[in-house]
Amino acid sequence: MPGTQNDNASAPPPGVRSEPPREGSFLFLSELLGLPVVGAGERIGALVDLLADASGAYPRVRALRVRTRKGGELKRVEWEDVEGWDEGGIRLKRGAEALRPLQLLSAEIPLAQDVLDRQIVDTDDAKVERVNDLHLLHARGDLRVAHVDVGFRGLVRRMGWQRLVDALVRGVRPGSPYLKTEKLVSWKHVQPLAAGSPRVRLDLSRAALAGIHPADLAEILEDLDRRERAVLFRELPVEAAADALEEVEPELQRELLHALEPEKAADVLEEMQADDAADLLADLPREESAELLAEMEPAEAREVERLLTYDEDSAGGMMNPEFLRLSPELTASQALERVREQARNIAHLHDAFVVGPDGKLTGVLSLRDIIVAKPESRVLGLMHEHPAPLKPDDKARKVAELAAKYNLFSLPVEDDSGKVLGVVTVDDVLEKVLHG
Amino acid sequence: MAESPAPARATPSSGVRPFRSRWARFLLVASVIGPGIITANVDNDAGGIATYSIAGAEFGYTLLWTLVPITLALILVQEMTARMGVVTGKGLSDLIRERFGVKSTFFVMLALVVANLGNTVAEFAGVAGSLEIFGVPRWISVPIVAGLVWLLVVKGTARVVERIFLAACVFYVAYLIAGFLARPDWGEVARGTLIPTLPFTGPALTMVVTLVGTTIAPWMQFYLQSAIVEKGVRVEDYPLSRLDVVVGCIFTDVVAFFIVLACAATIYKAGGHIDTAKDAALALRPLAGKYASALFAFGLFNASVFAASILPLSTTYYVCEAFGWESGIDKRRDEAPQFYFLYAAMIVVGAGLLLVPGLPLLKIMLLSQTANGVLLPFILVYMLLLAGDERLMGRYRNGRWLSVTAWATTALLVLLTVAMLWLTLRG
Repeated sequence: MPGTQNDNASAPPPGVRSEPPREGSFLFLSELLGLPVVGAGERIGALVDLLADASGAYPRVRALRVRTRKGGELKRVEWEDVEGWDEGGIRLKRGAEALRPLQLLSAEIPLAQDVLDRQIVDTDDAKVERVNDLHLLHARGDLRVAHVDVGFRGLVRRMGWQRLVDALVRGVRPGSPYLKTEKLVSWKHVQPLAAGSPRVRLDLSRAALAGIHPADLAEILEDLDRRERAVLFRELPVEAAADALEEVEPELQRELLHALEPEKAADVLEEMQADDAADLLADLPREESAELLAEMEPAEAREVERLLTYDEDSAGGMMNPEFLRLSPELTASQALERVREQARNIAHLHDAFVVGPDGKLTGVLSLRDIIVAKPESRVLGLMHEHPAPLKPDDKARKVAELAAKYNLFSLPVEDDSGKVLGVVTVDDVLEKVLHG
Repeated sequence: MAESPAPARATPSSGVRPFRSRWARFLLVASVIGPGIITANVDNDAGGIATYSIAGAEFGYTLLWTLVPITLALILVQEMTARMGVVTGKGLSDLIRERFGVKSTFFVMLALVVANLGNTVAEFAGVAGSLEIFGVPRWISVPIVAGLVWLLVVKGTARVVERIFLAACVFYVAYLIAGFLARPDWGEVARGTLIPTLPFTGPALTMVVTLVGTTIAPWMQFYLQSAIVEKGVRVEDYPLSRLDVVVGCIFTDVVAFFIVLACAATIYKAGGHIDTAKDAALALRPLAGKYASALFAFGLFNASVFAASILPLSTTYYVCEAFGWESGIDKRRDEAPQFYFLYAAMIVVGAGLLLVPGLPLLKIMLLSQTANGVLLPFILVYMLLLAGDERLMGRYRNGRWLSVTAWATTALLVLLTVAMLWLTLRG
């Protein structure tokens, strides 16, 4: 290769070192794994794994897993017994007596076994990544996990080709971004998912998970493998789980619901919009949906049960029985008060439906109409007739056409006597027309 | 379930749900069946058809019996793969990465890409060859089929693609009909199937090894396991999945059986010699009639397109999954650059090589067969380690007897593969 420069010409990239580690320096897990472990001047084994306490923000290494030279057994060596290390190996303060029986304390994660090469969720970027390496910080005598490496350079390093590839790239294109960019994700944004991970860590990052947008969370769940998916889903708070469940594909909904205990599954179903919950229950075997309905709050269960009797692709199957209801005699300011009271349980607040004492639809008005109206004006005067009320059997296609024709955001569903059963919103219709 | 009388049930349009339970069983079958049958049929791709044709043309009915143990070994291996897919919910490349690390994964993936690129070349050669029989020149057929493959994958949804694939499986019946049209001597067929004989000559041994190698291929394990994971088959439904695998393996080898038989009854009897599946279809015309010949060519076309649609895409998926790169046709090009690059490269190189005049195609396919051969022992050993791992498989890990049988079969397959490599490299 022409023009290959001497390595000394530029500073070594992070992670490649030739001198013993200084205080406050970074190194990669892959540099340590496989190193000989030397005690009392004698080689006693090789490093297999690091056990880190995951309860802190940045897990501290508490012990080593060592495969012994004699017999090839796995043993544990406490971090306190480690004197230091360099490229030649890890030096212990004492000899073979430092080897203790293998055990994993609670809150400890075996890093090589449960994090390296596994899938994690990057809660900052809302993405699923595979861990190529772990970036460790050595400071004040402690070794802590600082970042996970998810970049291409990490792969190259694991192959043991970093020097070669670096030299090649530097020869061809000295300014290549490859040489400078490490794709590192800070541990505080990392959600490990190995089934055996201690729960401590998960509690810490729960808040981060709940902060991810439901649509992103759904995509993460779809990208993960089944076991990791179940681990993640079980750890989500009920509300986040319900929101994410509304967003994922139907096949996945069933799988995820199965991952939960029946009680929690019922809680999640209650939290979901009733029409989505009904769609999901309709796809389950009859015994299962009956069991879940029995676990749910009676009121919510009744609502969902009623929706279950309609065809999924009809207005009845798509409608949500919870919608903004107003009485005709209210003033605009009273109406606004009523909206505020109901808002907590209702997903879409664009339109309010005016329902008489007999339960029949008398008219419709938008939240905007209420806000811009004089506070004392009556709902009866503000409302207008809805142009396209639906029957429960109307097909999704027809509903979409009506919504497009009249520019409607929501359409009421009436029974034969004119009583309002629920409201269909365009988001549900779009989903059916696009994917149905 | 306590149901209130449904207001809408009286109308016919709302009758879907009440029928659900009646259909549940059927739906369950449809949601589990597929991967095993498809995988096993793709196994009879252009290369497979060539191998079976040559076995029949050169050795008559004498090697038919080998298909029985080959089928058993295929079922053994595929069952393990399917079980791993159902229990772990992960693809084989993920499992290898998580258990054996980056280095093993890299070399396995490298060999897989080389082997599957060679296989893809063979599939497009099958497309070219079969359509040349019908008078379509390859510079027309190959680009069009390559375009169709791209389109099918980019535009088709998983469900549509699977249905097309299942339909393609039905067309393999062409070989059964061609076998009957060839009017074999059924007495000799029975003798060849039931009485194991093996002439101890170099060519005969090579043939047997090639038969094994073409039937039990590394890529199938990756494909089957991913397809099962993709289907989301649950552990409770595993018996159905196993049925899917067993039926697929048997059907595949029945097709192989009839290909051998058709060529044995005609080309072997007439003392002909063939090198490719296209030769076989051409040789059948004067011997078994134009219908048998056309059916044979049609079967080859079907099989080649089928495999050409699956190999490039699936290979790309395994590689991306193993290294944690974004993958999937629902991703944009700048979101998943490695995925699109590798997929396009597989198709462009695979189809493009056919159009380069004077390229030694048979040598390229031989190289891919060698890559397959080198890869198979590693894959099998990895699979056995994974399938026997209690931490991973729990109570679904290989039991003692299955373990012993599987290791013995693997040892035998490795031995045969080494023999094949040795024979191939020697000339």
